[in-house]
Amino acid sequence: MYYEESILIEGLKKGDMRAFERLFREYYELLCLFANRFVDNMPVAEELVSDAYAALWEKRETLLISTSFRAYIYRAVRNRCLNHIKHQRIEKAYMEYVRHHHLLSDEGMDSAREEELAREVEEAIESLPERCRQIFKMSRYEDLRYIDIAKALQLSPKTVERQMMIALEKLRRHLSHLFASV
Amino acid sequence: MSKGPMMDEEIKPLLVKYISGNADPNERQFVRQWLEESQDHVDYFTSLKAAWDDALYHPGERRVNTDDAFNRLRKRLAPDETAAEPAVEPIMEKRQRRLFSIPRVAAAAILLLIAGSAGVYLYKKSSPQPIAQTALALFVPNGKMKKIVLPDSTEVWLNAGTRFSYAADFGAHIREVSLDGEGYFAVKHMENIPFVVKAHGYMVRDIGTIFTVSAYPHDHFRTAVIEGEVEVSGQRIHMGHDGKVLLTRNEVLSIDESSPRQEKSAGPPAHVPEADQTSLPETQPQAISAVEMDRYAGWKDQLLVFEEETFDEVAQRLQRTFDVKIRITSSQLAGFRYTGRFNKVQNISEALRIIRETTPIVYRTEKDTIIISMDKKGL
Repeated sequence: MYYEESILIEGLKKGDMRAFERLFREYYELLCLFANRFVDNMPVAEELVSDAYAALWEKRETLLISTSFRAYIYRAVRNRCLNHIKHQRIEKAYMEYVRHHHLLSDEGMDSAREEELAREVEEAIESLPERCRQIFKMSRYEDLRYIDIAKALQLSPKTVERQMMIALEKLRRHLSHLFASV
Repeated sequence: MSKGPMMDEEIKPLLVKYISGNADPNERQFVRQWLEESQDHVDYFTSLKAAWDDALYHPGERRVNTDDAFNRLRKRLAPDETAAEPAVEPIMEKRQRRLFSIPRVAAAAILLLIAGSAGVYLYKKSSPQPIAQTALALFVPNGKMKKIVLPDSTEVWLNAGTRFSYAADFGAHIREVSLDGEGYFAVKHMENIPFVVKAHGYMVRDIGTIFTVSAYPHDHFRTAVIEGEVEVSGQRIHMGHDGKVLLTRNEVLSIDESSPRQEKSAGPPAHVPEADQTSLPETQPQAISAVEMDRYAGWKDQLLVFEEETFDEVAQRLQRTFDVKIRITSSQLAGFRYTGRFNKVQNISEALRIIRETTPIVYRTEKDTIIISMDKKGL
């Protein structure tokens, strides 16, 4: 089912929770991944995105969106992220990172680009040697520490360290062309 | 982006350790210095960091749960609305479907979802027991704070230096969690399934409520109630009410763990020693004001409050909050009592500067330890 975004916005202005829900579901996940690049902490990223939507709901009656909704909500989330990290000691390299990678553009990632990235990421990770892939997944998706991965797989922490380096380096090479023009 | 191969191979594993949250303070410092050296270094680092972030786009490993997020948000925006009206018909977009395509133990999925940051990790206790009994545990290191949502949608904030766990059968008959450290619980009330926090031999049982529990090793056991009621039990509590103490709104119970019993620091948190009947610790709830409540619950909102606390206690909490080591060299200072409020103070130097305004201290850093001593001139 597809709704014209302008219809959803009109619904939102009238306090239609279902229109609001549509707008939330459409962008929530992508916005969280976007915000995570700034704050480097997924629970915080989720909270910032939810806060942006909460603010949207609260000022629904006086809402003025001159651009697309996508541009509006990405900007709202980005501003919250910048505000959040402003109070933290952020390293220069990290700010550099934020400046690269489309983070400061209003549009964020569109779904076509996201599809492409998702496919490439899957391909890159699944093409890693088995052990290497297993270790990387435990670190990235299960948040296990090196020492716990080492224990679980009965490897030395040095091996885990080395495999992690190989995994991320391969991933970097595999994906770098996606951002080559940035 | 092709600078990779030109990098010193030694640094690569260290950068990955840094990005994945595995580097210790010395290694972090080393990486920061290395980054200052050249733009090439920064470029290489950012390309690795980008790959690390991009990995979250893996279609089969998504951890953002849009359904849960929306339900929480809706409750927040319209709290009186009942759940009677279901969400709009399931939206079967490709993106959503992928999310739920991998079967997982429900509890594991929730924990994975919440432990998104590099600073938090999960460990699974490897044991020969069947999966259903395997405990899942979360550790929040010093300097961090985490908010998590349990499978029953109870919200929990965990303070720095806290271990938290629950069994995979959480919610079946009882909702029992273990805490070693400090937590703030906004419990989703369920009539027939009590919510119990086990901490250092005490059980705090909710009666539909918001409360905090603080049970760090070698520290007081404290529980404070923000809303509703809790019932606290434990072998050290002998109140004549079936060994239970009832606390209601704006009350706190504080038990000095160090006093009458012999400290068994090596034992697990659940270890309950024989109570010394002759010198029982204070187990009377105290009424406190909303402002005083900040002392117990403020940390959740990055508000650090000290109320007439000894410098030892202050140092303990600063160590946990900012992930630093502190040594106090003056015994006079150890007995000094400090009162102060720190709102969203981001680092230890700022905190020390504020303390210095009202307290005669001097401090310096030696390796990774902050040494605090009495400022003789200030007296």
